[in-house]
Amino acid sequence: MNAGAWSGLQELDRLAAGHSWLHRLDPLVKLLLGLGFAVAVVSVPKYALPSLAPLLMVPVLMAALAGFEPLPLLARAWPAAGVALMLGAFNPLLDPQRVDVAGCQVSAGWLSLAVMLAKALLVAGMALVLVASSGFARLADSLGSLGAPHIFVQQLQLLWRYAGLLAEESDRLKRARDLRDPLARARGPRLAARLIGGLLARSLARAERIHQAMLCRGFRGSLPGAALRPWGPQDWAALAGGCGLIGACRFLPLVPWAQQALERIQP
Amino acid sequence: MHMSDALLSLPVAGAFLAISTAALAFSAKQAASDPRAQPARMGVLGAFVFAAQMINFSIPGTGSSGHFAGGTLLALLIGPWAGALVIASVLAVQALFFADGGLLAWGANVFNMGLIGCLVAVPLVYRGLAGPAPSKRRRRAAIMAASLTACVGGALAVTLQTTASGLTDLPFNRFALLMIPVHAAIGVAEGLITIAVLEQLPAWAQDQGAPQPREGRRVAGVALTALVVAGLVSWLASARPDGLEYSVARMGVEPASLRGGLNQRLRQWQSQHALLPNYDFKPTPVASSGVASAMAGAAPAQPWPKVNAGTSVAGLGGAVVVALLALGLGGLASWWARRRARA
Amino acid sequence: MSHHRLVFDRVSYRYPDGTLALDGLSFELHHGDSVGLVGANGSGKSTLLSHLNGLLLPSQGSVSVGDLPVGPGTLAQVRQHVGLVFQDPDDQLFMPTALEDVAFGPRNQGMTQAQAEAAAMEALRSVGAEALAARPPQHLSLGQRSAVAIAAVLAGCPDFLALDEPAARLDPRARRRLITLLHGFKHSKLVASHDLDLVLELCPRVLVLKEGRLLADGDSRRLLSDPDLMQAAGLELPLSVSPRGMGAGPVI
Repeated sequence: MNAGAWSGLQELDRLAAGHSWLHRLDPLVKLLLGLGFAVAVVSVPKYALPSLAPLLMVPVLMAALAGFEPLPLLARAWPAAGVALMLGAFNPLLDPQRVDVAGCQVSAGWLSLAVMLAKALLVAGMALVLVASSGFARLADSLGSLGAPHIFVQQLQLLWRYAGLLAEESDRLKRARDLRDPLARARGPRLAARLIGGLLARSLARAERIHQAMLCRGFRGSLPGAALRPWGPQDWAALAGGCGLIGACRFLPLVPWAQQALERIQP
Repeated sequence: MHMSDALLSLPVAGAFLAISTAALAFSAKQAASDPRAQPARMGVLGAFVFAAQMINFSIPGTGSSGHFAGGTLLALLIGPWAGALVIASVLAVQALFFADGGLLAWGANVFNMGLIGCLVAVPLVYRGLAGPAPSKRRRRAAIMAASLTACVGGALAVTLQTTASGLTDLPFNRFALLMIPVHAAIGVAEGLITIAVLEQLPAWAQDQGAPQPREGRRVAGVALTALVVAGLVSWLASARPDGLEYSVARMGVEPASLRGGLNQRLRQWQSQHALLPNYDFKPTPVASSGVASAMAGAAPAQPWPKVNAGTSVAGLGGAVVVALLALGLGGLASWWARRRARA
Repeated sequence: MSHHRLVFDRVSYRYPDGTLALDGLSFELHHGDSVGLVGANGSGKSTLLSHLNGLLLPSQGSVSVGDLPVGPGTLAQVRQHVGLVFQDPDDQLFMPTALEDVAFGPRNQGMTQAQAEAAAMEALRSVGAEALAARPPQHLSLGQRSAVAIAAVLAGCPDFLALDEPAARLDPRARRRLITLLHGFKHSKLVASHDLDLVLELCPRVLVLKEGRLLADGDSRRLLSDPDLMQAAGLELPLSVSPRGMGAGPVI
C-alpha cells in the first residue's frame, strides 16, 4: 500500500457524497445487508459454483442504484482474490475427484478454486459498494447503533481522520530514502526500523498535541457520538427487499431454471 | 496473512466472529478504566500502523519484501486491551477498503492478528519473561519471544481455521509445516524491528504495558495450566468416543429423546460441520495392539493412548478456543447488561 | 469584568530534563488588549502559551485568570475563559466533520446537541466557514482548516484568545483573510508569531521574549522598529518598517 492507494481511498470516500436513493439509506441498513450477503456467500458449499452466480446480482444492483461505475469498483476488489488464489491454487493438484466440464474431465479442484475466487470477489465488491455509498464516518457511527462499544467507534473515527496525514508523512520518509538510494542498496530492515521509529516518535508527539487540544476544549474522557436519526419507511423497505433478494438469489434454483428455459428455447 | 471469506466455512467464520466481538467488548470495558487508552493516542497509533506498513523493506537473503505488523509494539505502548482495539480497527478499514480480508473473516483476522498478539503474547509471554523491571537484554529477549509467539500463533490459527473449514484441499500437517517456519522467520524480523523501534523512544516511553504483577501471574497460571491439561488430556481421552456417546452406546438402547427426524438432521449437520471432527486432522491408522483388542468390545479398535502430534495440536487449539469463549461470554454478558441499562 | 484580566506573576518553568524555558515572567493582559508575542525559536513563546490555560503549570510563580488561579483544580473553568489555537490545525480538528469539531467545546460545556450545533454554526459564520460545516477536515485546504480551528476555539466563548503562529502556513491571500478576521474580533488577544508585520498590523502592544525572559513589553511600533532590541532578541526589523522594504540593503 502506498500513499497513492491511500488517496484512491479518499476518492472512494468522496463517492459517498452522492445523492442516490441508496446513498440516502441509513448506513446500518447497508451494513446489515452487507453482512447478510456475506453469510449467503460463505454458506455456499465447496463446489457449488452455480449457487454463486445469482448472488452476483446483489452488488451489481446496489452499485447501479448508487450510480457507480461497476468496473472501477470491481478493479478495487481484485486484491481479495490474492489470498484465495494463494491457498486455493493447490486444490486442482490435490483434489482426487473428477468432474465433467463441457465434455472434459478436470479435477474438481478447479471448481472449488473458482468458487473460492468468486466468493472473495463477491464479498469484497459488496463491501466496496457498501462503503462507497455510506462514507466511512457514517458507517462507523452505524456500528455504534449496532451495539459496538463507543471506544471502538471513536477509534475508527480517529483512525480514519489521521491515517491520511500519517500516510503522507510515511510517503515522504520513503521517498527521502528512495531518492537518496537510487541503486536500492539501503532497503534492508535496519533502515526501515529507523524510519518507522522516527514515524512513531512523531506520531506519539502528535497524539500528545491532539490530546492537549481536546483538553483545552473541555474533553471529558470520550468524544461525543453522532446523533443518529431513526429509520424511516424506506430504510425498512430496503432492508426487507434486500434480504428478500439475497435469499432469493441464494436459495431459489435460478440457474437450473435458466437452464430449463434455455433448453426450451433451444432444444 | 489476512484470512478471506473465501477460505472459511460459515460455522468457523461465525465462531471466530463471536469470539472476537466478545473479546473486543471485554477489551473495551477494560480499556475504559485504563489511563493509557487515551483516544488521541489510540487513534494516532492506529494511523501509525497503516503508515508504518507502507515502509516496505527487503528481507535479507530472500529478496522478498516484508512489512511491519506492529501488534506487539502496540500492546507494549498502550497496553493489551487498547492494543487489541486498535488492531481490530485497522483490520476493519483493511477489510472494507482494501479487499484485505472478508467481512465475516474480520472475526478470524482479529483473533489471529490482534487477540493472539495483544492478549496472549504480550501479557503472558512478554510479561512472564520480562518481569516487572527488566534489564535491556532481558526485555529484548522477551520482546523476541512475544513476537515469535504472536506470529507463529497467528499462523497456526490460520492453518486451523482453513483446515477446519475444509474449502482448501491442503492437508493440515503439510500446510502447518509450510506456514509455521515461514512465520517463525517473520516473527524474528518483527521482533528485531519492534526492539529497534522501541529503543528509539526515550526510556520512560518504552514500556507502558505493565499490568499489576499479581494479575499477570494469575492469568498466566490459568492459561498455562489449561494448555498443559488440554495437551495431556487430549492424548489420553481421544481414543474413546466422547464420554456421553460412549455410555449411551454401551446401554445399547437409544433413549427415546434421541430419536426423531429433527435430531437425526441435527446430528447429520453436526457431523458435517463439526469444527474439529474427531479432534484430529490426520487419518489415524488402526493399530492392533493388546490394549486395543482388549477394549475392542466396548470401543472401536484404536491405539490408546493416541500419541499423535495432530491430536495434541487440535486439542490445544480447542482449549484456547474454549478459554477465549469463556472469557468472551463473560464480557458479552456484561456488555449486554450495559446496553440494556443505556436503552 | 473580573475575568478579563490575565496575570503572570514571576512565572518560571523548567522542563523535566532540566531546561529552563521561562524565567521570572511577569505581565498582565486586560480586557480588549491585543498583544503580540515575539521572540526567536526557543525563546519560550509556545511554553508561555501553554501556561495560559494550564496545559503546563509553573515551576515557580503563578498564573491567574480573573479571580481564578490556574491550578489542577481550576483547569476546566480556566479553559472556558482562555481559548488556545495551536500552530497546526490538524492537531485541533479531530472530529469527522467541521461542525462536530466546532461543536465539541460547547458540548463539553454542557449544551445539548442542538444548542451546541447552533453555537457552532454561529462560530463558523464568524470566520466565514459556514459552508464547510458538513465537510471532513481532511478534505479542507490549509487555510480553511485554520479558519475552522479558530472557529472551534471561538465556539466556547472564551474571554481571551491566544493564537500560536496563526499565519505560519498560509498563502498570502489566506494570510490577509486571517488578519482581517482577527481585526474584527473584540476578544482580548495574544498572538505569538514570527510574522512581525502581522503583529504590527494587529497588535498595538508587544511582548518580546528572549531565552525565557521578558526583554521588553510595550508599544509594538516603537519596540519593533528598534534595531538594537530586535538584534538582541535574535530577530530583525519587520519588512514594513525596515529600509529594506523600500529596496535598500540589509539593515542589521
